[in-house]
Amino acid sequence: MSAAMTAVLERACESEPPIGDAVEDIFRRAEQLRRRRARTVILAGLIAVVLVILLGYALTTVLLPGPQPRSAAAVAVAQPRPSAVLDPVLRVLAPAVDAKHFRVVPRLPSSGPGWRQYAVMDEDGRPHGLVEVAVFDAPVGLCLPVLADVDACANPDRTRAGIEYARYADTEDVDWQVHEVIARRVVDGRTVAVQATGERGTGDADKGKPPLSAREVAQVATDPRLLDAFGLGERCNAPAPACPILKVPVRPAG
Amino acid sequence: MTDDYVAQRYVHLRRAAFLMCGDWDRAGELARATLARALTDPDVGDLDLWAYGDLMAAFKPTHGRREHVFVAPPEAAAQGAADVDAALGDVYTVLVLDALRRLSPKCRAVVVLHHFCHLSVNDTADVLGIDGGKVTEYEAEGLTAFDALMRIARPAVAR
Repeated sequence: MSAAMTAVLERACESEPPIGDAVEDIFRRAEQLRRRRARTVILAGLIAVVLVILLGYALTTVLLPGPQPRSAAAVAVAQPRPSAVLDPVLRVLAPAVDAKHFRVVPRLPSSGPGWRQYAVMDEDGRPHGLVEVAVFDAPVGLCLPVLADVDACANPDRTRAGIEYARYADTEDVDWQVHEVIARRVVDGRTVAVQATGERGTGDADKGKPPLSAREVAQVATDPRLLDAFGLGERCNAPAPACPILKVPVRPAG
Repeated sequence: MTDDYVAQRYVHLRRAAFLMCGDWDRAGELARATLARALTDPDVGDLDLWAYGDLMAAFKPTHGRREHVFVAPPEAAAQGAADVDAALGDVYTVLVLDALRRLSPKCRAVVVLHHFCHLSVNDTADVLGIDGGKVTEYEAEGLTAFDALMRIARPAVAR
């Protein structure tokens, strides 16, 4: 470092003007810079958040599948009904029960995909058994069981509406007396089983008598409205663990 | 950072900038901007070195832009011939600035930082982003050119 050179340079600065308000101006500028920097940081954060949201939305839109149209044939759900016929199964069943001065009400769990169950009570409100209804698909055919011969198929009765049916009355067990009818619509194989069970565990043949006779059950089961009362796709074909246990099981062919 | 410290650093930085550009107004503006940034930048380590580096960055030659022309101090024109000493001082300043202007910007920066700001060769190299050997070369080049020009200038100052 040359002292002479330093002196020359310092002498060249002798005519410098006064600093004036330079210090205040410096602090004022520093404050403005701080504010601008803070605004920049906040803006950058907001932009980053917006970008993340847009990116997430775009990725989910592109990568995730959209809502699938539901197939009425594949999904077993009860169909919506007008309020006047909120339970069309009960609408078919109720006249037969009412004619015997009983009352019939849904029994919880009252329904599932392919089945309904109702409690029957006498005029005093005492329980008088149960009516269970289940539908099946048997387009290929159906072997109507013969109680006396497990390998045989019953020769069905036929209604004018084109419904084949078989009646079963199993009242030997006084604690589980059953009247059951299995009815199949020939044109499409749609099948319904209606099982009327007397109050169980009474130990008395009269008290345990089913609320409907086999003939009355057959009238209900062969009513064309009963099959139509169930939604498309509703069925109790195996495996269907939630469906009622029938004393005479339904075994569609195929 | 206190007001006194800022004032002291401002005076020194403004002088260094004046030697680089020859214009007190521009020098003051650059010094103020540098100190304002120094007060707010979170990454300032050694304040002096940082400030010199920031200040000298303003004098890097840019493409398509002519270097600022050195100007005479305003006092010389205002006072006229009434104050002979002041006039001679201004002439001296103009000659020094003219000598500095003939150097390349980097060479001028080495002369100012090393001889006016009293930075070591290594600190000068760090501030300018060049190696120490290059600093020594620039310094020798500057002193040589400066000595020759000052020898020519001395008689004019003395007259």
